[in-house]
Formats: sequence, C-alpha cells, structure tokens
Amino acid sequence: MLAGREARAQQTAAADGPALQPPQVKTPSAAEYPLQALHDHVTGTVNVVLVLQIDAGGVVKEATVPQPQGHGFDEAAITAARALVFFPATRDGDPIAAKIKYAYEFKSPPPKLIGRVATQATDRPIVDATVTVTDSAGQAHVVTSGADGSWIVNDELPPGAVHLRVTAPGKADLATDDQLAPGEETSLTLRLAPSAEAAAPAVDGGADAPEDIVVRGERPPREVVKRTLGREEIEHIPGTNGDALRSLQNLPGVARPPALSGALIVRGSAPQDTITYIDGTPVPLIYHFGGLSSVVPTETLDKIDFYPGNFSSQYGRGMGGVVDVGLRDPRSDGYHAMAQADLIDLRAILEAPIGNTGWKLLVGGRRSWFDVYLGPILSATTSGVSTAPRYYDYQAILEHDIGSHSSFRLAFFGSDDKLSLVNQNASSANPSFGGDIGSHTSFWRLQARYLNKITSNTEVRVTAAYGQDSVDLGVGVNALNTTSHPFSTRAELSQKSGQLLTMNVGLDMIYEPYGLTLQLPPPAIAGQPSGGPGQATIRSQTSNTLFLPGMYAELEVKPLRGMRIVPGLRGDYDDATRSWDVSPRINARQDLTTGFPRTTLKGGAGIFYQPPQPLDTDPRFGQTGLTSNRSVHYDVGVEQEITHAIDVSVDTYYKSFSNLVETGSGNSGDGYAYGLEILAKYKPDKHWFGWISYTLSRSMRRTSPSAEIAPFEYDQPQVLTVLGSYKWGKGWQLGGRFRFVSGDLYTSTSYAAFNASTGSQLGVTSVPTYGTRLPSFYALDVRVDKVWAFARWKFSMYLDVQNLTNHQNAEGESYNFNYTQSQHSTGLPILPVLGMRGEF
Amino acid sequence: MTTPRRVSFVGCMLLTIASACGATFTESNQVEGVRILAVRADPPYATPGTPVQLTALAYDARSSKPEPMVLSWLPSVCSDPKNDDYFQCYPAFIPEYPSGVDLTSQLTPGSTFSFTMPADVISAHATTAGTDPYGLATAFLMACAGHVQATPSAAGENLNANPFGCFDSSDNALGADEYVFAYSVVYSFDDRTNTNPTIDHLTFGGNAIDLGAGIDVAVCSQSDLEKCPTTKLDTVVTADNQELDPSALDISGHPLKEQLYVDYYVTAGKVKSDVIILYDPTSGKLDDTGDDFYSPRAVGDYLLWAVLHDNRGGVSWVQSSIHVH
Repeated sequence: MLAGREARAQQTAAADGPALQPPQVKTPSAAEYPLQALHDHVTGTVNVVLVLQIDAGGVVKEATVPQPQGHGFDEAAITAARALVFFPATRDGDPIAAKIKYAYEFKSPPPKLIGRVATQATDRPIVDATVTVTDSAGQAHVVTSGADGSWIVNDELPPGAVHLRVTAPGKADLATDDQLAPGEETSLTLRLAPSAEAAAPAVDGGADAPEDIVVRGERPPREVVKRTLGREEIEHIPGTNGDALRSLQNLPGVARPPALSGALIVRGSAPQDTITYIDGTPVPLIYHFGGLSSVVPTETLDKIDFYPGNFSSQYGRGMGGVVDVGLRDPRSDGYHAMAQADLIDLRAILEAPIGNTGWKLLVGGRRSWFDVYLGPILSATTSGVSTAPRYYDYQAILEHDIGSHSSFRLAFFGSDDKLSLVNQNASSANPSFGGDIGSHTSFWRLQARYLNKITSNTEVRVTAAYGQDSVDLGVGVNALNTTSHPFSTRAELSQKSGQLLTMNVGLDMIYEPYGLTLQLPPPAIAGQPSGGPGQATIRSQTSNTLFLPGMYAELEVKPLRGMRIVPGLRGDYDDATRSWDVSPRINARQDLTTGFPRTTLKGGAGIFYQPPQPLDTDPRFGQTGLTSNRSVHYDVGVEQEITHAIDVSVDTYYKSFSNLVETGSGNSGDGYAYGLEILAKYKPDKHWFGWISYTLSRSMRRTSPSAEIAPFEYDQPQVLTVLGSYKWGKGWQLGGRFRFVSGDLYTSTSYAAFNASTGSQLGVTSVPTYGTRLPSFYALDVRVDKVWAFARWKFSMYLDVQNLTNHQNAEGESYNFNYTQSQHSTGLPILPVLGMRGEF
Repeated sequence: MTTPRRVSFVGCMLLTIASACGATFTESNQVEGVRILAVRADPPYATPGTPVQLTALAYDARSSKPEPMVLSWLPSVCSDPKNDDYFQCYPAFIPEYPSGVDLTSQLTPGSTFSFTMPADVISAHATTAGTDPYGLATAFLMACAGHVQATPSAAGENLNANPFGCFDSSDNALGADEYVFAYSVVYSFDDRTNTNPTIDHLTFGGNAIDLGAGIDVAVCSQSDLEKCPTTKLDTVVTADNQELDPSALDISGHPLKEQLYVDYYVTAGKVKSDVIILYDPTSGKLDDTGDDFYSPRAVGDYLLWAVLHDNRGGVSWVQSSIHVH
C-alpha cells in the first residue's frame, strides 16, 4: 500500500552568513505506508522527523530518527529518505556538506469494501440488490449488485464500524455490522433468504423454492461456506428418499454403511466415534433402524453442520466426526401444512403463528407403515418371522422473538423404534438366538434455547435439555435394558473485539442418571473366538450416573489479510474414570485471492478424547482403571473456485489413535487413519445440480502394541459418488446417482468343531479378524419428480429407484452348516419407492 | 444413553434372516456323510465327585465307505478351561498327543464315555461376578472314517483351530464328510440340578408316529427337492419338561424357564428348518411348532432323528425309520 506522500524539508542547517544556502530537494522520494501499521490498525496522521547528513554532492549519507514512532513508520521514512537527491547546500556559492531535519507525514489509507449478494442456500448471484453502507461518520453509501451479484463501494470510507443493509425483490432484508480497517480490503458475501411471501409454495418447485437447509462440510468461524447442500438438492438426491441426513453419505470422508445398519462411518472411525446433536443437544441416534430414514424429517430442518474431523473446541467427547442438526423456526406468515406418503412412511407438518402474540408453533410427526404389508411377506418367505418393525418420530417447536436481537424457543422431539417377533427357526449355529426377539429403542428431549445478540459484538447462546433414552433388547434368554434421563446444557458467550479478535467461551455439561441391566454370555476377548453357544450367561444390574462437565475457550484471530487462525482449548471431566482430558486444537485458513476465482488454503491439528462407554466400565462386563480413548487429527486442504458454478475442494487428513479401550486388556489399542478427499461441485442453477465426490483412505488398528496392525473393520479405501439432477421444465425433474465403493471387510471362517451339547457347529475365525474383503459395491439410483402447481397449493409425486440395474452387491458372507462352503450374501435388490406430497 | 451409539441391531438381524433365505447350501439336517448329531450327559448337571455318563449319537451316511467310521473319545476330560472356552484345552493336548502319529491306541472307542466330575471343579473355577459358583468339564470326541492324528496349528490360525485330523491309510487328510470333531460340556453346581428333557412323541401329518413301525411316504418324482410334497412334522414335549432356569432372570429379576428346541436330521429328503423352538423362556410353549418334511426322491428305507435340547445342556432324542415307496 502506497502512503506517506507529504514530504517537506525544513531548513535548519547552520547559516552563519548571508552566502549560506540550505540544500534543496532535487529528486523527491515518497515513503510507502508500512504494512505493519496496517496490521496494527494505526489510524490518523503520523509524522516522522528525520535528521539527514547530506554530502557536498547532494547525496544523503545518513538518516536518523531522533523520536521513533514505531509500527514500521521509522523504517519506511529512512528507506525513502535514502533515495532523496538534493541540490547541495552552498557557502559563497561552493557546495558543502550539511545536516538538516526532514519530515515525512503518513496518513492512513482508506479501507476498501467490496462483496457479493447471493441466495442463502444455493449461492446463486442476486442481481440489482441494493446495498446501503452507513460509515462510522453516519454517511450513507448506496451501491447495487451487478450481474454476478458483486458490488463495490467506490467512495472513500473512514476506518471503523459500518452498518450494511441489503434489500432485493422477493428476498428478506438482511442487516449486518462489520469493522473496516485502514488500508484493508474487506470482502463480504451476503446471502439472502426468501421473503415470507416468496417462501410460499412456488410454481413448479422452481428456482425460487424455499432454500433453507445447509449441509456444511466444515464450518468456518464466519460465513465462508464451501460444501453446501441446499434443500433443492437434498430433496432430489436419488437413492435417499429426500432424507437430509442420508444425504450426508454422499459427501467425501463418509463411508458407505453396511446394509441396513444406518451407521455413520467418518474418516475411518467407528460409528460410535461420531457424535450427533440436535441444536447442540446430544442424541443417542440419528437414524431409525435399518438406516431407512433419519429421526428428524427434512422438512423441519434449518441446517446440518457436518464436521468430518478437526472440529471446533465447542464439541468434545468424540474421536470421529460431529453432526449437529439445527431445527428451523416455525414460519410466521400464516398457516402452512404438508403431508407426504411413500412406501416407507407417512408424515405431516402443521405450522402457524399463534394469533398476534409473537409466538409461532410447528408440530410434525411421522410413522412408518411398511409393517402393514411387509409382515405378511416376511411370514410367507421366512417362516417363523411374522412381524416387521415400525418407527415413528415427532417434533413440536414453539418460538418467540424477543425484540430484534433475542429469541426464546422450546422444542420437544423424540423417536421410537420397535420390533417384536417370534423367530421359531433359530440359527443352527446358535439356537439361543431365537424365540422371542424384541427391540425397542426410544428417546425424547424437551429443549429450551435462548439467543441474545446483546450488542453487535456480543452474543449469548444457551441451550438446556432434559429427556429420556431407553433401549430394551431381548433375544431368547439374552437381554440388554437401559433407561437414562440425561440433562444436558450448553452455554456460549461470543465477544468480538475489533477487527482482529473474537473470543468464544462456553460450558458443555451432561448429567445422566441411568440404569443398566445385562444378561449376556461373557464378552468376547478381542482377537479370540467366542466360546460358542451354551456358555452360562452373566447378569449385571447397575445404577449409576454419567457426569461429564466440559468447558472450552476459543479465539478467532485475523492477524493478516485473508488469514483466520482459530486456536482453542477444551477440558472435559469424566466422573466414571475420575480424570480430566485437556484438548488443545488449532485451525487456520488463508485466502490467497480475494476476488474470483477464490483460492483458500486451510489446515488444522488437534487432540480429541472420547470417554469409555458405560458398558466398558460396567462392573461385570467391563473393566476398571480405564482412561479415555485418544486421537490426534491433522488436516491440510485447499479450496478453489473453477468457475462461478463449480468449486473444487481437496483435503488430506491423518489421524492417530491411542488408548483405545479393548475388551479384557484396558486401553491397549491403537492405530491410525489417513486419506485424500476430493469434492467437485456444480452449484444448483436453473436446471442442474450435482457433484463428484471421491475419497481414498486407509484405517488401521491393533488391539495391543504386540499385535499385528491390520485394516480396521470399517476400512473402506475408495468411495466414489457421482450424482446429478436436471429440471426439464413443466414440473419434471430427473436425477441419477452412481456409487462405487470398496467392499466391506469380514472375518473368514472355516470348519472347526461341533458342540454336541447344544447341537451347534462352530467355525474357526481367521487371524487377524476382518482380513478378507468383499467384492466392490456399485449401484445406480434414479429419481423422477413431477410437480403440479395450483393457485394455493402444490402436489408432487416421485419415484426413487434404488439399485436400478439390480446389481447383486455382496454385503456379507454366508456359510453352510459346518463352514466348509460359503457364498456372498447380497444386499437390496432393485427397490422402487413411490411417494406423493401435498403442501400449502 | 447419550454417549454410546448403536449399530442397528435390528438391521443386522434382518440382514441375517434375509441372507439365510438366499443360501443354497445343503441343510444341516440332511445327513449325507459322517456326522455326530448329539451327546447326552447323564446327568446334565453333575455335582463334584459324582459320575457322569456321556452317550453319543453318530451316523455314517456315506454311500461309499472305504474305511468304517470309528467313534472315539479323548481319555480324560478338561476341567475349568480359561474363560470356559473349550479351545483353551487345546494347548494341553500338544505334549500328550504328538503330531504325525496314529492316535488310535490312545483314544477310547465307543459311543459312550464315563468320567467322574472332579471334586475341585467348582473351587478351582475362577469366580465370575454375576453368577453362582460353578465349574465345568469338557469331553472331546471324534467320528473318523480313518485314523486320528494330532495336527499342529499352522501360522496365522486362530486359537480354536482344530487340533486333530482324520487321515486315511495313505495318511491323506480326510474332509468334513468323513470326519467330525466334537465336544460336550457338563456343568457342575453345588445345589443346582437339571434333567434331560424327553420327547413325548412325534407327529407326522398330524398323526402320532409309531417309532417301531416308522413312517411311510410316497416317493417324490420332482427333480428339484424344493418342489417335492411336504408333510408337517412336529415334536410333542409336555410342559413339565421346561424347568426353571435359576441363572436367567427377566428384566424385573424374576426367574425364567429353560428354552427347549428340537433339531431334526434325516438321511433322505429334508426338513425346512434345522432348529425349531418349542418352549421360550418368556412365552412358554409356542404355537405352530411344526416343520415341513420334504419327501425323498428315491425309494428306500431311511432314518429320521429328532434331538431335543434344553439350553442348559440337557439332551434326548428319538429315531424313526422312513419308508419311501
């Protein structure tokens, strides 16, 4: 940045006689405004007075600063002064050396403010949006966004606070505050949500359809979203039945779960290592059984924050990833309703403001109904099994805005999955796993949330929840029953201090009394085969309390232009192990360019702990003396805009694992995982959306330092997803998804012995376990949508066909009765799901 | 609870059921080679120092028999192996049974085997929290259409790899159709008893089977056994056979009863399900316990066994002939 243009000489040289003339500037030299001063945000005018030694030739031989000003001004002035050339001082006409005082005046350069206006979810540019910038002197500057949504304030702006207000036809107004620093260019992306009117059902489900769900691959400290799945995308991804949380499985770093498991396998970690939240409140499960759908319908979501690793210090107690689902606020623009039915479930939502009280209410519910028609099919095809599972979930949200800066919300939500059947045809390998089979899993939460933006720099967010989790599993004489009543609270204070610094401090606590009853055979020792059926069951009945207080502090620092560094520290206490875990973490981003095409480098490192699970510390089935599982995450990546429509991001990661809890051997396990993730995404436009996601990874584990390290059960080296969808017009939309995934690992088994007491055949499991890989998985899914729009409502139908080519993907290995023959068991055949939906 | 996550139990179970449907293997109930079908212990629970008699049910259904099947037992039982795991007995076999040697002279031949439950079987057993004090003894037996040799574990094999093999006269290892390695576990409690459950009678097509006369069925002319006519086969067990199981409690802590189930074996045709549960610990006697018997595709005289188990080691069986016309 060029600055300090006002230079002037002062005649102070000795002048004993009338023939003495001071030196005069022959060749001026301007001083550059120092970068350090910019970084230090020095404002106003700074004068640096120099003492110059000038020889008889007019050359500056020495320059000194009697009263230094710091911030780089002195060095800038000296550098400039050395380039000065003078007409020398003269005595009686003869050139002589002279010493003079010479001053440079530095004036802080003005800030520059540029930006872009786009739609909230799909990031499409908004043309002709009006941006009104009110500077620190109260002067308003009005600019308009161009064809690509960009805008620039050409007026000279003073440093300091600015207030921005953005308006655009069909969009809700947006107001925000920011700080401008001298000489810095501030670039803001302003994303507008649809106005209340525009959010009403749109004709043909077109480009202005509501767009209010955001799936973030990584959440930067401020609004710089890189992986965004809008609602338009989520609802039309083939093979997911429009389920937002199932769409996560199409992102890099997420492995394909085993068939009918509904597990989230993130960056080579076990499913239980990834923690799931609903608005900051931990919940025990995110999918109904079988992974058929998530426990929160897409229509009630505001956003999904997904962190595959290196997540912020605000999250803890997990070594894998984090999924934080945000429920949306009820709408305030009149009554709205939605009803949907497909072959899996039925759902309905109703929302409306409550009179003129300022309160808004949303109620919703969903129940599966495939038990009605699947039960008879199971009965006919698998004799002895006559009842199919069923699930339901429910949501009620009551929200009130208190002024323009704070809000209060109550939410009640829950889920219930149940299966009860009699399987009279027990397995010949283990007859005890037959007979009465029952599975009942449920949870509910009553959650209160208070938000207050106290000032433009201070924000408080408090969430507290109480609820119940219940699991009741029974197979023959084997049983697992647990009921707990978790109380969790999370509070965060965010304080912004100027342009450079924001501090977040928070508390994150769980208090959870629970009862646990187990009646099971002895736990298998890792790496050793089970004793087989017929072993005496062990019964354990315990009542205890999980007490997991945590606290964290995090800084968001911007030391250089385009750079953001977020160091954080988190402390977690586990009452079960009576120990503290301290987790330092740091993430950083650096924008290499400010305009299009944007290039950003990013990286992070941190320590992550996960306490042992209650079963691990159970007095009969668990162990004593355990400590938390530990993992260290490293991540380096780059994001690159290729065109205005296409972004590419590349991430590499490495995770080390240690202190892993292993059955019977304490915290003896360790391992590592590493990988490369690539996402090339075509942002939704009038016709298209789609992306290519590829993950190359490896995940290794061993049960003890003396054991051989081997691929982890969930190791899935290659995951490729290619998907796209096209709107043909007149309400028609056609999309496809192709997936290619490395086969799952399994433990091969061979002939061993016959337990003549129980009549069961036992096999020899290979060492190491999970040492054999199934053939690669691939499937093509297709989805067709048709929307009919009417004056006040719209009706839509869709056909979502999974595995269109009916490819027989191997999902496991089946053996004959004595393990001398085997063949692959295959997953879902072609599965068409027809659905319909009406809404207003 | 909040912190643990559960991979879908139901999903895995449904997949298991679905997988079993798709399998095209020979069923366990189709006896086509050398098989050990059951071992009955008298009594199933033995107090320390008392005698126990084991009786094996084995059959050789091979169409060609170069060498006869021989049933033999290891001469001593293994008591209180580590973690109650039968394969933890194997290391003790290594010095006692050298590999590459015909072990016929070291084994006890015959279908019955007797031993005395060791006097210290309970006191020597490691205490397990959550269970009453107990001990156990494991007996090993082999049905071999040749001679038995010890087989040292190969590198990379698991702990439960079979420690013995069956070899023909040329020392060629024989496969699973000519060799079965089996074990039987007998538990010992100070004050718990168990009796072997008994079968009252079998029914075939709704009529009681006269075990002396057997059953008569018409030959099936279909080329695919799955398309052959079926007849309902059922096992009748009276309710007094379902004893209380003191080690199993329901969620409220009340004692449950035993689980009773029946295994069927046939030398021709097949039955639809290998195992049928007759009595459940919580539900008691189950309805519709019949199994489908598929008529054989060849004329002749064959055998049917119904082996009744309780889940505490109690066993009994009945045998019937099948006359296919």
